[in-house]
Amino acid sequence: MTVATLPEKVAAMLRQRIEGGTLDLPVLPEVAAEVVASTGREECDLRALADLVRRDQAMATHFLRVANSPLYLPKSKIVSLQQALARLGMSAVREIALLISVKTRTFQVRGYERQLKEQFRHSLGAALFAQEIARMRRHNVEEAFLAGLLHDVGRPVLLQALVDLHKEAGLSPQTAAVEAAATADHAHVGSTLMAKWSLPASLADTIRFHHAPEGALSDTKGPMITALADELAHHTLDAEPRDEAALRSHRALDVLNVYPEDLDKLLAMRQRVIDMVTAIA
Amino acid sequence: MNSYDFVVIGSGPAGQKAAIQAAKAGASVLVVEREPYVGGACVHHGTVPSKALRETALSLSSFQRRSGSVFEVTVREDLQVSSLMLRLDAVIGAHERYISDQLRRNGIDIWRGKARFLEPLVIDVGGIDGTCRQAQAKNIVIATGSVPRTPPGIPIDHEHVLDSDSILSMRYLPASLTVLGAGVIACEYASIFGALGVKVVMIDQGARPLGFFDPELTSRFVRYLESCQGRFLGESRVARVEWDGVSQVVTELATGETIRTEKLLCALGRVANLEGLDIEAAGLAKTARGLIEVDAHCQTIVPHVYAAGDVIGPPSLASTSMEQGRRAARHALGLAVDAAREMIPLGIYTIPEMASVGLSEKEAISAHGAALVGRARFEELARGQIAAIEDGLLKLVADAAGRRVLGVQIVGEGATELVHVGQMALCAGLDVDTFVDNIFNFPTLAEAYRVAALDVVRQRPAVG
Repeated sequence: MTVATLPEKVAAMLRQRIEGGTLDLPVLPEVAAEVVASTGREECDLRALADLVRRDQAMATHFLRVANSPLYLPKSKIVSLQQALARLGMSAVREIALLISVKTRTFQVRGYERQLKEQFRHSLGAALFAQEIARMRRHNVEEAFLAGLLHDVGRPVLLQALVDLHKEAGLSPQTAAVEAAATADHAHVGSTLMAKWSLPASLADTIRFHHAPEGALSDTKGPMITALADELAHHTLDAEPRDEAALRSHRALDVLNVYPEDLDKLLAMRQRVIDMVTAIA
Repeated sequence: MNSYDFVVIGSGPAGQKAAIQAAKAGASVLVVEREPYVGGACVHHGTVPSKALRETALSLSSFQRRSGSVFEVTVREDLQVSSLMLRLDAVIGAHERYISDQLRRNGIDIWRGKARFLEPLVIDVGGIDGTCRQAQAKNIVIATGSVPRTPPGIPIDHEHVLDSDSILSMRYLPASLTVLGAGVIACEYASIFGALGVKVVMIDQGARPLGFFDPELTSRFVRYLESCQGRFLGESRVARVEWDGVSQVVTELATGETIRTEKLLCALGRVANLEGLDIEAAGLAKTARGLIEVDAHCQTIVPHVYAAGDVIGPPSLASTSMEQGRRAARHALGLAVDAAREMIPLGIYTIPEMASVGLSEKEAISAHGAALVGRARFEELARGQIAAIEDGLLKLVADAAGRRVLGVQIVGEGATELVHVGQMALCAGLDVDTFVDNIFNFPTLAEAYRVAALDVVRQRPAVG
């Protein structure tokens, strides 16, 4: 854990929360409001609601949690959003979405709203690229999308926790230190949360190893897809331009058998991803 | 530029055998493969993985049947499809290692990359890292296999609407599955998923599945599918396929009937995999069906350029592809080539299995004017009763006099193995009495041959 640049008190409290598993994943206030409005309408657009759940990092995570909880007693473990939508039926989906929106805390990260927004945009961008890579390589598309969407889930969790902890400690957060801490521990925190919430082990594995996919405990292809999608999303959505040569020598290309012309096809999707992310996130 | 006596593009069954045959004849050989592994779709997407899944499905259904339903066998809904393909990684790994070792042992070079013709006997190979290298050959064999056909109007997204290359990427078993098509791949997957508890709806324009097969056999396949809560909708035209954006794939038939299932498998044939190969630069052109035309020696219209396996079209069986590859290499190197084998057995790994060799009843009547057919039902065999293989049937097709064996068709467990007994009888020109006069092990399913032969004898026209 790299929290050295944080005030000692905050670092200790954060360590305690990570170890105790008491971190929160709030939802975006505007997404929660949209769900409440959508489910409240007499003519609820189920397709739009399903899209909302599928494409929002926090909603997707909580949805899988609640769908697997004793409240809904699924006959068997729900491992994907698609499976949940098919098995639970739309009235349960409406109910769960509303429950999450009303009961889950919304993000309160004054001063970090821009980072949070960028984070959600990046996650959706990575999910969209991941599903295209999976389609290309005939890997599971649902799993790739979900892993892309949630690969950085630890980051907003840490961001909220650090803002809260500074407040509790009566300190004013230093942006650079908060961002550095959120970056350093996000993979570990994200995968720990997945395990704690009993979400699929392969998802926890991918989140944990998305920066070092060779180390994945099970299949390395899933983490490789996420790693490549992560890089493509940075190339597409980051304000700072990235070096294309680094992308063209990405280690996942060899493992996934993505040829230069295949990578060109993925890069040709950039504008579409920007448009979709802008429209949704 | 690198020079070889023989360049083979593709390392599936046809490519492997062509390369090995050429190397054994002393030729310098290069194999070009676009995937990081050798073996082709057969090992990695098709034959081997689907048979691994089938083995599990078969074990589950056989166990329940044989235990007299004392044990209830259910498949957990959340079970990953990959975990049902027990030992798959080990099977694929072993098979791939075997092929790879065999190629290297014979001194064959393997380049990973995408091949493209520059001239009839010169190819460019684009590597995964973007580098290119060229190779010149005295002979080239195109053995690039096939890919699933994507019919217009079917929105294959490999997520909700899948094809035979992506169907096994599913992580959980869907509650329901629509299968478009009624060919070998469609029937195999329909019966496998049916056996695993998935509600399957097969839709095809034909009146029955596997239209080229004996209807007496295919009706048993439909019966099995129905026993698994499945349906076969024949003579049905699909008007529209669409994912509803929430949880179901909606298939609308021309009649207006709609079918909603969690997933859909489109198995409406395969087409030659020629993308990026630029066969025109070699002086070749695709046929109207998207295939490469060859003669009996698998030679194209361009001298020294051959094609073998799925790229030349039916029967597209791994067994025939291997033989085509071998024959192409022998012909190219001026080695003796024996007459093409006409007696090719056909095995279909549905549940229940189906197999055929020689003429069917209909073909025999058409060719010879009449035929005598002996039948052996597996429920009449001790082994069939013991193993609870009750819905099996062996048909022995003989000439009108009931003497000469013309063909064998079998449905039921073990059919793909049993058919080889009939194949050998046909190759050796044995008559029906051979099966009556010889002793078979008891209890075995092979006894079906004797029972069917006795049935032919019973029907023989009275002499004098």
